[in-house]
Amino acid sequence: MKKLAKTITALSGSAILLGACGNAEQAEEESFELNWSTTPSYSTQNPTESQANYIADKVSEFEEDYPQVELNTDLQSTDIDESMTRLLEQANTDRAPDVAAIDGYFFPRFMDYLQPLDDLFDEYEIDIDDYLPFVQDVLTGDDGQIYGLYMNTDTRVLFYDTDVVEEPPTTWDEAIATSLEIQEEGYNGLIFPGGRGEGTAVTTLWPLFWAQEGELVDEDGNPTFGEGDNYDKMLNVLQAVNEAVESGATPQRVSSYGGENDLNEEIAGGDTAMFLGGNWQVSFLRETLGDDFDSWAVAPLPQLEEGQFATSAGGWAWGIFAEEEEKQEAAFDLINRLFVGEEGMTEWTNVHGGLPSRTSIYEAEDLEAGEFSDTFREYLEDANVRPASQHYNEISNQMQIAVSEVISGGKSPEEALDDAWAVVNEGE
Amino acid sequence: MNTSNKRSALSLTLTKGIGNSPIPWLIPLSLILLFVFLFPVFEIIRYSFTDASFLETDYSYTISSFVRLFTLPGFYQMLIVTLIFVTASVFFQMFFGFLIALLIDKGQKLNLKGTVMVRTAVLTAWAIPGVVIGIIWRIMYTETPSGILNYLISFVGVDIVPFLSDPYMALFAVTLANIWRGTAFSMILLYAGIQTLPKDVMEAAKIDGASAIQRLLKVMLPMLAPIILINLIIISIDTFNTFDMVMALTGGGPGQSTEVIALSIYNSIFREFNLGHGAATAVVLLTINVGMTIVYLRVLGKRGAA
Amino acid sequence: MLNKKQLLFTKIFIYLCYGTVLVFFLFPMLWVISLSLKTQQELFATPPAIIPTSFAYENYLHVLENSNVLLYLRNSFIIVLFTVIFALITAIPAAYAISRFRFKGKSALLVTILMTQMISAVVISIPLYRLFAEWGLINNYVVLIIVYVAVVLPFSTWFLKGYFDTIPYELDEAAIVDGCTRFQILTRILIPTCLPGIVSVTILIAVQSWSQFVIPFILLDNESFYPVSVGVMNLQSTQQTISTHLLAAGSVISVLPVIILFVILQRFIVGALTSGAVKG
Repeated sequence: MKKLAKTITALSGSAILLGACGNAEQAEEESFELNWSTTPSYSTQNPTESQANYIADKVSEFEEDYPQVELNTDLQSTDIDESMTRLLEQANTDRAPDVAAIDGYFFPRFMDYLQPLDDLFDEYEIDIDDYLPFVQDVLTGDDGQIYGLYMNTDTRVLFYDTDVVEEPPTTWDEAIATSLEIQEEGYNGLIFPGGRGEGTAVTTLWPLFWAQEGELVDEDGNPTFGEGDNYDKMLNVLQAVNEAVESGATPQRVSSYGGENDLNEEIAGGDTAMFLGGNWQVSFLRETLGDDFDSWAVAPLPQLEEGQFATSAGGWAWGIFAEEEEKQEAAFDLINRLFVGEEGMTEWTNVHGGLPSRTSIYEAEDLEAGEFSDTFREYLEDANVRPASQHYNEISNQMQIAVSEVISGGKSPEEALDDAWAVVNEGE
Repeated sequence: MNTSNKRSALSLTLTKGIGNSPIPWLIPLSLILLFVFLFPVFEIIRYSFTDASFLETDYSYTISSFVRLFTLPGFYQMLIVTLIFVTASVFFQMFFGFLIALLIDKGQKLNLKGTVMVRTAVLTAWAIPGVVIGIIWRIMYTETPSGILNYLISFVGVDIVPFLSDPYMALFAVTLANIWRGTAFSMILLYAGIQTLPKDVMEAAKIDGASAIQRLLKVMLPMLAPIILINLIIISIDTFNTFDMVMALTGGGPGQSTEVIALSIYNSIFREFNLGHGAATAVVLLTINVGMTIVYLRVLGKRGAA
Repeated sequence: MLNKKQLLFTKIFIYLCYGTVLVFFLFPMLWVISLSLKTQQELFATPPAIIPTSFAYENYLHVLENSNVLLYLRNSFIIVLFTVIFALITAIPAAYAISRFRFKGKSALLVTILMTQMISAVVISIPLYRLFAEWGLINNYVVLIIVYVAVVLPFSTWFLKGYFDTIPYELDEAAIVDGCTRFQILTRILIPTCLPGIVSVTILIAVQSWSQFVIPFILLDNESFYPVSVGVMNLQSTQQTISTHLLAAGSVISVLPVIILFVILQRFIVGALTSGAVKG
């Protein structure tokens, strides 16, 4: 009996489906809206034509396969902090879109509002263990369920021109020495982001701090970077940066560079031989330096002590807020075909560059891997991510202020750190 | 027969019809102002007495935001930065605005060619949105040899000037860009003032043998005093409230050396999610705004009495 | 003879000053135009070339095709247009009432209006953001324009009130004798007579709304609704793909329409502003 009932239901279901195909009116009745909140670069507004076309093609494929879905695109502002703040506010006030692009380091803070995706992962045959280790941590909630789809990732490295710098410096002191040497040959010294911006935190500050096993926050997310051992470790970081500037190895102007891309202009000038930056800058370097880029190589970020290693990983994930199953399914399919599925991630990497967050994609046949991508992948195995504390943004902002004050000569490392700690800590 | 008598007589003839009370005429204005100003001001004061985070709906009432604001490093520096930015911007905007207004006035009297062009050139700066001005000046201040200002300065034998990476230079750089932006407004206002000066007084002073400088200081400036004061207050308030240009130019850095009060409010709330703290800073700005209004009213009152 | 010599010196002196003023005010714009016509290679040449040799106008095509500058411009025009219309509809009757009626609390009302003029837009935008977010009105042009109107209302009302005050009351009287209602007095007599003042205030509202930053920046969070004053920010932060020459081209496109408008209308604008400044 039960079986019969099931068959009947299934039959009537398919009848409805058949009917829907032949009957536009009926399809409209069952149609629903899907609000897709994305950044301009992950939308058809992407300024690079090939990327925009890729997204447009995939989206129209999706729309053909899901005629009942009316896809609404909400474009986020390109200011990440701001757009994430707003998204959190929306989630908080029950106005969240159905599916949204979320910066990886904000992701855990959205988990309370997101839907678990384990079933859909199974259905689409994505294995969570295929993701890089740090990505698994980001996506998995305290309850062990999976809450998001990670797309590409990125990491920070030392870029250097082998024609000028034969051996990449592994320690900060070596970096200073090398920088002073190459300046005598007429090159610019070591540059890195040192101004107010998230690039300064993830490229310059945190790797030096993490490599000493410093902790920005404790398990409950409360700030700890300014007390106990962590204080000394953070002070070491600021002192190292200070030394680089005082010794003349690094120009003071880095205090106006808040992001990795702020270095581009100077690099394009052609006199730079060594800088700390993000993997995505490879495509810019190739485009601007042309054949001169052939002599460039990448190495791990120089650290305070020999043998230390740390780098930051970033990237974006997609979270699904919608509670309706049909919306979840459609949203998952959309993101999967665009950025996450085997085909999607491979093709997206080919047009966009960046680094796949799924290890299997590195082996994918169709992947046209960017330069150095195997090296980047190796670093990513041990990469750190920023803590998902609600205090993180304040910590980051205050430490950006601190380091740029040190570089510009406004404060000593001690003063700058004490002030940053005072502001963050009294904010409790 | 004075006007008020006339009016009361007339108002008798106008007692019928709905148009005869001022209230309906004022309703749209009042509603909009109540909704857009009164409610938010009340809210921001309320938030300033809470520990609210921008991201959470729960909060409790406390005065810790103010305590924190007044005791933490950075607050007084921010006030000083704002004060320097405002004072220098306002002074030089008016100074250059007045000079250019005088030049244009003189040029017009002499029928010089190019007067209109100068006037237009200055005016266009006024029509450019602040963010674009910030972007333009950031490009000009580039601290490498390909930066145009640094290139030009190198002719006088000066090495690279750290326009944006030295705390003091950055404040100077931001202020200079703001002077560029705001001079047009002062120029137009003062130019208008100069046009209204009675010609006979100026002529009389000339015949009396007063030198150009004397005429300027003893005759022109006193007569222009009211409009100068109004100009002063309008642009002071505008400068206190602005941050778009600074945001695009330096983002407040290096450190907090160019973080003016309005930018600080924005950063507290949208970067650090500290609604209570940001609201407390906003209340400080509001107090400055109200203080300026009182000064303005005093000035206006005196002007009316004179 | 001496007088002529003096005059010549004065002229030369003024021209020198004009030159300095022109350089100071035009140079930044000209430099950006120059950058916008350079190729990436030329951009970083040292010493920098003042006049671009490659005349890379394709930068403009690139920006037009790959960014939303035109959309931002369109949004700005829509916002400014409606702000002007609604601000005038609200301010004219209010200014009329304040100018022509005698009522209790009039000076208090004037002071209150003035007070609102002084309040920073940052202060009001944040509570409004929270409120609009709760009501689902973020990215809604109607409420956005109401806020824009509120910001320009105080000075518009004061300004128009000042202008109406200069029109002799005898004119109203004559109209009343002819049997006009108040509304007719306003529309048939005061508005036509005060047209220059209304034009001045329109220009002031338009310029202020055009460069308004804080309000759209906080009350809009969808990029496709941004006006130019906020949208160009996106050009700056997507530098990953857009570098200085393109940023320069984007900046030029975003200010060009208004600069052209200013140059064409400049005589008119100055006239309107000077008459306004004196009356207000």
